[in-house]
Amino acid sequence: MEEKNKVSRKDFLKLGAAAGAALAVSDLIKPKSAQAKETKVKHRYAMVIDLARCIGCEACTVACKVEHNVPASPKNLKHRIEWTEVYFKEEGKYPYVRTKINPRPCQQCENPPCVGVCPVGATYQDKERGLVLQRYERCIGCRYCATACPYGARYFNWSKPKWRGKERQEALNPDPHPQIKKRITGIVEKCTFCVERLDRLEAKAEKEGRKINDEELHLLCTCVNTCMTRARHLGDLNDPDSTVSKLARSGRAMYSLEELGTHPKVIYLKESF
Amino acid sequence: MKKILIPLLLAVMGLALFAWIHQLQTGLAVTGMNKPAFWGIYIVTFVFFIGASAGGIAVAALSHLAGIEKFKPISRVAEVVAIISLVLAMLGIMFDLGRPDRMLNLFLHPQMTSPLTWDVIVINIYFVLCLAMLYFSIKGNTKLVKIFACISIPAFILVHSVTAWIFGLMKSQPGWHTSILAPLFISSALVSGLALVIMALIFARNYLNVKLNEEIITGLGKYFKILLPVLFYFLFCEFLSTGFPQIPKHTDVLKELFTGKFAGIFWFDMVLGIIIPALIIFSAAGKTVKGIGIVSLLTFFGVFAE
Repeated sequence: MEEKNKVSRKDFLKLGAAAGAALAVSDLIKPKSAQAKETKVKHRYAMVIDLARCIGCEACTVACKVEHNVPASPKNLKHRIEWTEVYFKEEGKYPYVRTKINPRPCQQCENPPCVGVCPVGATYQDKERGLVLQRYERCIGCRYCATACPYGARYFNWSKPKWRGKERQEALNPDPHPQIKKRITGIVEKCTFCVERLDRLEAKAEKEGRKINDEELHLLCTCVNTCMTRARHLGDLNDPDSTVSKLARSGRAMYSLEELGTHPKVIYLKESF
Repeated sequence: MKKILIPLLLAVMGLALFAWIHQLQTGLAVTGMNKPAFWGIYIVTFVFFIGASAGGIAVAALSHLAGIEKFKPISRVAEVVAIISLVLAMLGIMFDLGRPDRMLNLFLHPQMTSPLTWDVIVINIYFVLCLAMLYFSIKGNTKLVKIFACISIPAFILVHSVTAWIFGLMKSQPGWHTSILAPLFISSALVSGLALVIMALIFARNYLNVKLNEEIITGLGKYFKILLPVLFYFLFCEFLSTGFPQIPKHTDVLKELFTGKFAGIFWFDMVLGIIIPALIIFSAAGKTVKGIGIVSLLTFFGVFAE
């Protein structure tokens, strides 16, 4: 299904580009450019979440909050901000009851519904890595992206961000990455797949003149690193030998709301076959 | 009348200003909007006033273009209603933004893929168009007024369609993601705009002692005979096509509307907004109708998407 979609899209792009080339006298537009767009994303960082291993301890949520200067939850829990959230759903009737646990970071869609919808371009998709990121200084707070996200992965600063009852300082990151800098009231924020750590790692690898290896990447994100049952994995889908790629090929792999065509890069492993 | 009205309105404005300052200081949390319901009463007012404005301009264009003599005196009222509603709609958006101080980003960094940007462009063009129409109709330049009236009809359809597409193009909200949303918005816009013009006329006649022929109001009221059934038909189409296939997410929205949290608002709209007005219109005396409910109803649709 996935493969088929890609081929048809590529063909479509080729067709469009060919038509454009036929129309344009100059040879600026060529089918090549269309193909380049397909493979332009250097890394496709993806997360695998093993639902069989997740025990719902919510350590990922807490770790993420600490790492990213996320404000403490207000009294009205509907106004809370949790970049990665764990949903619990009880199923069945006594005595056959079970709780379904579903941890949900941003799905980092390859075809994100939130990006195109922003009227000011405050949210964008990183071209090199395909990550969906937010420009905090440009966001006007219309909350269109938050409404358009089918996963509810975007959060709005409803009130002044507070940390332990005080107005938030740069609590634990005195010299933060621009993506995790202190936010202000009235803007939208979201999970970045720990882009500050990725940046650091990429810079380090470049300095040493080598590629990032899977082992370094595997436990990079805070939520992954803190997960005590090792339910989460991070990796590059463009590397066919990475842990994430291997797990994504397994029969247990599934995607959340796949039918919407968002192509999420968070892969869930079913609890059982 | 004036003696009571003006201080009263000033008091309301002062209260609103106070409330707005409070909101700016503490953030949008004070509005009661929250996680699944990111958009609330401000967006509802925005959509409603865009609708009312579109309806107002439709009435004005009708009187200019169709050359119906008896509607001539009210065309200006309709134009003013259209412009005031448009300004109110834009204000609604300003209150809704988390960072109103960054509002100019809409013009500095417009992103063309967003339906919201389309709306900003279309509304601004439409606003200029309305102002031009009013200006030339005051000047008495009938030829230019007719030209602008000609342009204004597709413009108001566009404005309201784009406003509907802000909601209708999102796949994340099952209650909104439907192709009938734009026609539905337009028909409800016409109803509410007509209602607003008629209310303004009646107010002017009763309290400001403006001489107005009774025929004008009843003549305008006749258009409800077409508009209300059309609106009802569109709503029926919408409900049938969301309800019949029994897709869980869609039926959840309907359930919530018919019997759930929004049942009160929904039945209030259906009964007081459509059925009773329709009965009045088709019976002996039909005069004032509020088409308000339908628009507000629609915006409440997607709240239960998840």
